[in-house]
Amino acid sequence: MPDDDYLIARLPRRWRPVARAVANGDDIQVLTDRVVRALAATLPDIGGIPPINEVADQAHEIAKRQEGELDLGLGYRSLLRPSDTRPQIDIMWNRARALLESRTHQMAEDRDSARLTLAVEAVKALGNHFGFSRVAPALLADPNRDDRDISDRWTRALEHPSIEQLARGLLRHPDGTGLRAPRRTRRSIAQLLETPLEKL
Amino acid sequence: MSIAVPEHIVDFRPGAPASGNRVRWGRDTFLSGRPVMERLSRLLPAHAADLMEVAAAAYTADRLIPRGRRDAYGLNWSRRFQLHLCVRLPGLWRRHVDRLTALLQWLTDDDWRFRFYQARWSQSPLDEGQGFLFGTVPPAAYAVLFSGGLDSAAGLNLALRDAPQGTPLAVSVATNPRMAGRQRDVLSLLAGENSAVPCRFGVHLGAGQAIEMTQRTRGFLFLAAGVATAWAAGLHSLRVFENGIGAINLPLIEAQRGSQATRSVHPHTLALTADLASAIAAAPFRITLPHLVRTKAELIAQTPLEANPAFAMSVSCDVGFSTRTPGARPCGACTSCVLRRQAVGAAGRPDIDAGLTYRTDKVPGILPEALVATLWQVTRLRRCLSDKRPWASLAYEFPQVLDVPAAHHDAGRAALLNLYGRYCDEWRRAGAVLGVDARRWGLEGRTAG
Repeated sequence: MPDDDYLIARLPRRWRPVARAVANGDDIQVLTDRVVRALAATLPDIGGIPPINEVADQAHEIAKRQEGELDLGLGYRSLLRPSDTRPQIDIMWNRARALLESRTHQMAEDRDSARLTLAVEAVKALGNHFGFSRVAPALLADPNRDDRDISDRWTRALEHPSIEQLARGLLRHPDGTGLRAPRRTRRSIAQLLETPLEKL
Repeated sequence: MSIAVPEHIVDFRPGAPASGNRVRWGRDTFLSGRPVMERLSRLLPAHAADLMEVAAAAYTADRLIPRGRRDAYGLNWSRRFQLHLCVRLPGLWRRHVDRLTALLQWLTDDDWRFRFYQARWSQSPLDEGQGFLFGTVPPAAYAVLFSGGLDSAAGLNLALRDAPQGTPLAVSVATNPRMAGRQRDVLSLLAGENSAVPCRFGVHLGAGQAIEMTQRTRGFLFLAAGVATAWAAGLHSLRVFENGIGAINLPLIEAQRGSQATRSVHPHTLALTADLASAIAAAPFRITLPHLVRTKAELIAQTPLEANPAFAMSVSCDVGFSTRTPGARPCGACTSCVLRRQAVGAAGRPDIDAGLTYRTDKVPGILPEALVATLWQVTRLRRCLSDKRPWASLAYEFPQVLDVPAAHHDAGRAALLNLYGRYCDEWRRAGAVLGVDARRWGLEGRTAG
């Protein structure tokens, strides 16, 4: 039963510029830069996601068994949950279960791509957890805002290649130490003029 | 900035040193089971009394030690407990402590450890000197949880209608007099004195002791009361009346993790509790959730109109029982109020709440935060259900649905998809009750599922 459900609206300091960018409807590039920077700062702050490689490897083995129909129908249920009670562990483990249930084939392909897939998913989920879902309810309460537009812009920001670079960094530094935001690649005026509008 | 979580030792032993978190039964925390034993004219068996005391101890510790809230990352939401507790059967509890800690960790996100010691006679709150000559457990008795909320009232009404020859033992836990009074009133309107046996435990902390308000162990306390009462009556099952949407309680927004979306009567909670009870009693114990694939509105709609006065007395609001002001109105804005208002509207039973005024009522153009979060969840659910692979999409968007045992097989998945589809449709039909503009929230058109 919903019984004193806890809805967090408080934003971590690193996420305030992101909230402003969402609220102001800033350019998607600005929003993406802020999201990537917030994530890159958050991961060391929270101590990274130390067991991410081990959980990804375990999920990969389970997915392989599922693909080979050798897992006795257990699937995601055989994925062991790390004992760590920090939120990022919970979030990563839930993403691993979700991937096993919805993208089994992709998780079964090879160990490295399973690791990367989980890392990308976990980083995005942290963005939703610390950022978007704390900002969205207040924005959506405004009847003049379009919920689909707000969530589409957010989704586009999380689809940016910098998120994958950040995820690769996380796999190299699972505890977050030394993790940095990928360098921004500024496009020249000439490149911008050549880029179709929908890609901007 | 990873945070080392300190361990809180909470000592319930008589003669525990006064330093630290010492808790004395009858002084710092109170547990009463005498009314239940008198109703049934039976003493609680040793393992039943132990279970109830273990649950009351966990509840006390949960309320004594505050969760950290200053850190916006939420790294200190979880706590670490070590409880020292005297029980009648310490060997038994040591053997099954892993089951107990798994249940508590699932309910609270906290880390729990226990040290059990041998209790001496009269050291424990449920020790009774005088036994009973003749039991008064009615024939065809069955145990049900009765919180005084709308679902438990509707479920009990249906149970009485479907099996008029049976007698429900309506088990409740009252943590304050207002709650006890309301449970008594709803039950007497629903069933009268002769068709249901009220079995009420009392649990409360001393003045000023209950600091933490989240009280995620409350579900365990209620379930333990149900199991202990069933055992005292010689029964091996317990029914819990809760609708499926509320029982599963998927997070409304992604910022909620783990137990921040309450799991009091989640099907997995019931499975873990039944597993613990079966191990402790060395006999199978079943806890059923008969309305798992019904929405709250569907549960209400099943009941006759004559039940409306009893339902009108029921309390759903999160702060409905905690306020000490007589005649206080429900807030109207918490997640529980939102679900009740939606359900009463969707069931076409506005009379239930006709005499009720909410503190936060409809204000044109302004929706309470919990309602916006609920609508955001409904929007996401609808997107999942309209996907080509709705189950994969639902599991991807709400991986918490995988915790429901029904999700482990195809028929269960189909039933869950159908449940959420109907729930989304209810919002399309009845959202206006809460001032929701269906077009603005994309709720037009039937939901797949």
